[in-house]
Amino acid sequence: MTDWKTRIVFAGPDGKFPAPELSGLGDVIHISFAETRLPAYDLLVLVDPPLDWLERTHLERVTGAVSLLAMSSPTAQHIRVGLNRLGVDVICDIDAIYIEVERLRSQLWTARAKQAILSLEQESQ
Amino acid sequence: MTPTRVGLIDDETQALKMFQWEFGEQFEVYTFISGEDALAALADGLVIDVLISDQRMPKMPGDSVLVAIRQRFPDIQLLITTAFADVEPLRRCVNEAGVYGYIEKPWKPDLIVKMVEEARAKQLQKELENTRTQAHIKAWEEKTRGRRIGDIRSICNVLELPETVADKYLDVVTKVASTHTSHWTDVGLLSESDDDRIALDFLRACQLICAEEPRHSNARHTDSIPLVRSMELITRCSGPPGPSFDVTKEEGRLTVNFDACGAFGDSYLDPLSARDQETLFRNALLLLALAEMERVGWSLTVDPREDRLMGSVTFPT
Repeated sequence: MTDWKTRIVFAGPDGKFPAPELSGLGDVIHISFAETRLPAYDLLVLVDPPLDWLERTHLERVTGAVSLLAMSSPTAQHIRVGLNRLGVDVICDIDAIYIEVERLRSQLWTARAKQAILSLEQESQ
Repeated sequence: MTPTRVGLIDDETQALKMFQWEFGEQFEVYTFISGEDALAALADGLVIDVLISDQRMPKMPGDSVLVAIRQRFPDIQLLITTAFADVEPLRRCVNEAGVYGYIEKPWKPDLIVKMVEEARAKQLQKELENTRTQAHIKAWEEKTRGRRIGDIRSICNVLELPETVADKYLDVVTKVASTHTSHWTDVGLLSESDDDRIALDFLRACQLICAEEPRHSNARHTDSIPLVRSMELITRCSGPPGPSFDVTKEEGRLTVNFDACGAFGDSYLDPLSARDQETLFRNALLLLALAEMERVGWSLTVDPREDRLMGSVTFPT
């Protein structure tokens, strides 16, 4: 059975940005950039992550997960590290977070539905 | 195993040569002096697994090249390389070209190898998934079509029509009906119980036509019924400028050649066909027209044109 619940990890600088209301789009865990390890997630939202955090935190491309880098003024280095270490799927402005999360969530669900169908096929063989 | 086919686009010939020297033994390397050259080579059929593009180039910048390649060749894995920190093109590379990675210049050969190998692994995984998906779609289509062919035979049994009518129906509908291309999201949308309901609707449509028969064939000899049904079928499928006919006579037989000028429509055998009453009615009408023709020794021949119902009805004189 496909689990349609989306685990969203929202990492942002505490108190600086009002987090958009993402709870309607899935289960949300908020973490700050004091953490150096990410919880398991389906959808990762990074809001203005410091470059050194991106470089020292344990990051990896997670198969079947998607990630979003939201920045007020991204630098090439942020993009490089985010892309190469995390495989970031979208880079957007802070005010576009909600709409991009919604879009990525549909993308995620589509991929899951496909996997579910293929798994059913394997089971039936 | 075939080596990974890696392309590099860079406007500096030195850079292309260095890349060839460095990675030529490990990968199958192709180099291009501009984005236009790479696009032309790909359009000519060159197959590349991973393509790396420099960003700053005189004619077409790297982000534009990669977006164009993503649109036309979605299976190629893309990497961007640059010595400059231009943010907007990089953002475009991620959002619009879906690049796998970003390599800073000057290159570190180890990083190039790592990125190329990772990108190729991702590509192979996608290819495998696509192959499995296609096989699954095909199996689903065949299963549904098989079930519906079985339904047609059962309907013929219920209506006491010879089984040869079902075969003729399958032959005709395969030639003249339109079919739809399935996508993996269609798979499983139609449950077996829905399919049973469609079969029952098809049977009801046949019964309705049979029940209305006396009105159509009032005061006519039974042998003229096939022409009535054929005419109704042609009229239902007619499009502008309307159906046309011509008659040819040969010894012992008469042939009415027709062109309905319109499409027959969706096939009942197609899993994705429209399930409306009109579609079922048209399909039922075809089945019954064929049954009547079979009974009195007439035959219907259609030209295999999916966009138009045309053919001929032949009967002995």
